[in-house]
Amino acid sequence: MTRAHPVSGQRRIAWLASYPRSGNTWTRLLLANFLSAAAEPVGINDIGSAMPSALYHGRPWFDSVAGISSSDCTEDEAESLRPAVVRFWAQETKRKATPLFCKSHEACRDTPAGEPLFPNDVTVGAVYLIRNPLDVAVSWAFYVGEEGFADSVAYLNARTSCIGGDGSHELRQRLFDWSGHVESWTGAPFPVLTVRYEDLLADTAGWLGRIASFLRLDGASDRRRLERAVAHSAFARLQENEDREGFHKNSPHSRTPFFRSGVAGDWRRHLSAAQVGDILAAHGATMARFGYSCRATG
Amino acid sequence: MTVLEVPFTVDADLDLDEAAAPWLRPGCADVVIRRGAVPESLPEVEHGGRFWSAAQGRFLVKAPHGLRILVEGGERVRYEAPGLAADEVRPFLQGSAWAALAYQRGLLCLHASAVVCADGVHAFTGASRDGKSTLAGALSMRGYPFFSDDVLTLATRRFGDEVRCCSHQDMKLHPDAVALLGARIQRPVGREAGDGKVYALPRQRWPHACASLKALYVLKREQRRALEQGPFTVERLSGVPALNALLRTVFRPKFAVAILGRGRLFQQLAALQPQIGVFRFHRPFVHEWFDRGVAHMAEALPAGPLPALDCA
Repeated sequence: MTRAHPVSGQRRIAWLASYPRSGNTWTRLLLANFLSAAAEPVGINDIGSAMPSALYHGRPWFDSVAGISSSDCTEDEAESLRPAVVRFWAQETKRKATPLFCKSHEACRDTPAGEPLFPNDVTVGAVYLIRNPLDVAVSWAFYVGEEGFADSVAYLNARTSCIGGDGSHELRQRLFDWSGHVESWTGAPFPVLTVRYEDLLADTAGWLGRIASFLRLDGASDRRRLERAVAHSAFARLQENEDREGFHKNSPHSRTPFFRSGVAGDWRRHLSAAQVGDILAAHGATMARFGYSCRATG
Repeated sequence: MTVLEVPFTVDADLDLDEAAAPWLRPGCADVVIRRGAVPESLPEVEHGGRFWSAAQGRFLVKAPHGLRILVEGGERVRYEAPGLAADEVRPFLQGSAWAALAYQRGLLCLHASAVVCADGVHAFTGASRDGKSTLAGALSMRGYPFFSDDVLTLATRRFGDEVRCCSHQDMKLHPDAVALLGARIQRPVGREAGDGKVYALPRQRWPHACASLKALYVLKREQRRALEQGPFTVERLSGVPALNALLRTVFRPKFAVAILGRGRLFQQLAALQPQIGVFRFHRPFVHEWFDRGVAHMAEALPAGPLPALDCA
């Protein structure tokens, strides 16, 4: 397995990247529980206190690091500044031993100023979560409180899809369509570990170990530590935690919990044949490349 | 209500927001703001780096399009803005640079928008785009004069019975908030009209720059489903949660730590906390629930004062 660069100098950022609703938050919780190695689980609203991390699209993070208000910049200006902001963050964050984890849903691409949005010189590597787009469409619809699934399917299929931006508490994030997103990350110019959400579900401890090993984290082969992190991040536990105290990452429009179902193959209960056909027509080739079909378990 | 004085005066060579008018004393001000040459970086930087840096009583802020602002000794502000108009400089000058200036003068800045009630100022804080300005703007339509937008400068270093707070920014709203409030637009913020915020007129505006701060409400964004299970709530905080809430309210907290020092910042917040009410306002962050949230907050606030300046 290819491994990420070792943490050294300014090369400190581990990107946790995915198309939205592909298991990114769950993976962050797995890593937070693995890194904290504590007897008690990390709360779903406390990931940041368990590991050095940031949301690359978060306005509070941008404003705090850059010292200017992103809302006083245009979206293009803020986007073009972000590589410099993450470099500054990498330089000023004191904790040196582990990577700094930076979550993103964006496609791996250039800023409007023509610079890579995910700068290679500060990157140790990226963990790229990929999930069957049929399930992504369903999960996204529930997340945004959509009544049907037509808009979500259209979203996955549009090259111009964005989230965040004006009127939102997140910076603009350009996604491309689902296939474009996958291709942008799997072709990134730094080490990338691609993890299928369905594989992570089936063998969570095994894949968490691979992620930890890829990122050169201490304890990557410590089975007990991995299994405890998995138990602490069990879906039922996350749902119970969300039910008790809410989850700040959930969409305000959602009528369902953020940790709603988590299963693979949920699309069979929700999508029409036409909607499945639309996704297959747009993404069949990329899906096949990663072992997805409408007949497969994923 | 007693009319209080601003903590320092300003002489600027560019137009500031209308709300900053009470701070202006051309020719004999405590702080002079001028266009001029600003270095790319500071020597012997003690804090910061690429975007902002602090060194020996000097503070450098960098913004898009080469804008650089140097704040020195709490008395001098110099900005270099190649090819930029005043409209493009002002948000950064009255935001980040203003905070550095206040910290250099030993004053605190809170990230909050506020209205005036019969007993004094009630302020709303939260993350960027949590609806601080929109809520204050909506309350100005219900008899609570708009006091300040985004940044609240606390005008006293030691907090006794009264915490004096001051405003210096006009109300800025995003297009969706303008539509929600039916607000009257004055002009775009920055040069790229249509891309983002606009200056908008609140229904009523408090005519003075300073007043006594009485309460701070942390806006808690709840999900629709949580609100379908229970009502809006205003929860009073005390002790450590209240202090934590205040800490999160500090505007440009890294600037405050770099200039004031962590110890002094905590000391000031600890002194502030018993002097004001600190609350958390749980409300949904969806447009169709907005009016109910405003009505709930209006019920929780003391009555509005009269007279205020009617802008409509």
